[in-house]
Amino acid sequence: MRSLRNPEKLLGVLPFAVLGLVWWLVTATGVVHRNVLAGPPEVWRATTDLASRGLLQDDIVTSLLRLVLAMAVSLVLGVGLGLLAGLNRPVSDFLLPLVSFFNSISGIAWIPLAIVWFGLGTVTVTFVLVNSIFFLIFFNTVLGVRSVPAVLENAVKTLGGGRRELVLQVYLPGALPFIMSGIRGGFGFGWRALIAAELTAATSGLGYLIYNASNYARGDQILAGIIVIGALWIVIDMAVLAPIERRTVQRWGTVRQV
Amino acid sequence: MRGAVSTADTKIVADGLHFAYRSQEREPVVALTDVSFEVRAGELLCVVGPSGCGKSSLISLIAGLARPQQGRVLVNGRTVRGPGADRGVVFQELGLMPWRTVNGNIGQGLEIARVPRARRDEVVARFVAMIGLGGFEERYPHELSGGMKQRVALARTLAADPTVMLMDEPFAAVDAQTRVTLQKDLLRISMQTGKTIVLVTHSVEEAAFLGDRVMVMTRRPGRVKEIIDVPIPREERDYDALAHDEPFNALRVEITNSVRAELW
Repeated sequence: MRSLRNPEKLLGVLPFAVLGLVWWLVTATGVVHRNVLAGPPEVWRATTDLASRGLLQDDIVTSLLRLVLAMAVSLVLGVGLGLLAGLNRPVSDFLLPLVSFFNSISGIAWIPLAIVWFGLGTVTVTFVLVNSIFFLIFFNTVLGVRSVPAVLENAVKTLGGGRRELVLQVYLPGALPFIMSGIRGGFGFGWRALIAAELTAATSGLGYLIYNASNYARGDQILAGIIVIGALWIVIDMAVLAPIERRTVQRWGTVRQV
Repeated sequence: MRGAVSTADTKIVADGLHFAYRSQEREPVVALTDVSFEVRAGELLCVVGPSGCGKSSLISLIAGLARPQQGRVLVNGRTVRGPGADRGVVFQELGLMPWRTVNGNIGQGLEIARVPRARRDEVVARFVAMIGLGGFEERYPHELSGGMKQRVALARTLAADPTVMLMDEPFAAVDAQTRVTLQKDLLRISMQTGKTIVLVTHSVEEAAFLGDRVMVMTRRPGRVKEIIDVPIPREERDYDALAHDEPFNALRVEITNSVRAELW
């Protein structure tokens, strides 16, 4: 509710209102025919219909679980390998060209091969997502580790700290602002790749909901799915990611001006 | 051992140190050469010299953060081979963890030493009181003034209870008024704790005011030019009183001239 009292935040809601109004006008007046673009009332009905049958909720949960699973795998791999590469010249010299090569390949390019390997479903989708998220987290972790001032390392060493303390008390928290922005960006990349992957490589989830609706020429359901996808993202970003960032890196005053 | 006689109350021995490093342009720079001196237990030794005379390198070598190409440093009779909690450092850039509160920063050394929580809290509270930062325990470094951060860095080093404290231009980044306060704090705390302290500074004023002895370095490559006694007990050191103290002013002029002779 606080955001409603904030005029700047309100300004961000305005474009949605304008867009909605234009949408409603062009469909209600018949400028664009209903069969081409369903209007707000139809899409609303499609949404409530899908929700009343529990289909929408199931697909949302499926998609979110896949995203969280892929993020968890990417975090473990990305932060782990990122720390290794950030702290070790030889390791980074060894890893970086390889990682750069794979980073240039869009995650969804792996969909055909992943289908051959893992069939349709969560494993394939997760594989594609990890391919989209991992690199961002890895590169951010490397960058974050390298950005930690040497004096922090020296401080912990002269307090008697060894390798373990250096990683846990210096490099990990020092790299956290970068890792956080990697997570945030990774969720964004992952969310887009997720829908793309589910369009072709799954039999459930929001992407599949859209794909399936197109088989039945249900433009209203397609739009319903798309709006849910966009709205869910805003909720994830505002309700989950931004507060985490506020509670950690902003409070420490270590947010980098990029 | 050249020119150094070690006794029971000798805390630090620097023996024939030669130290070179590579500059950012990859040029070798000889920071220190043939540096030998001793620091007695409980002594406060100030090191002065022109910029680039290797004062900071000296701190790194004693701390074990760098290794000399020749010679060695002994602390408590043992050769320094790496950093350790027995030699605390107050860095010029402080190096406080931005993600730790005042309490968290001060207690970091104890945490590393696996001191139990209850005992740790007790020690931290004592040092917070000593540096007069009561009420700021849960603040983060970026919320503190320069002088407060400086005190936290000092308390963090003290709380880890090192036998030797190394301070690299600790008061260079604070305003003049705060500096005087911090210097008085350091004198008081040094008397309370009896720590052996090596303090590097570019300020002759500061060196004469704080040091039991002042070691003057030559310009690069740094050597020990001379070591000057300041025969004034620490409890009698007071800026106002010393400002009109003839012997003290004479010493100050002597040290100033000695440093100035190295400026060209």
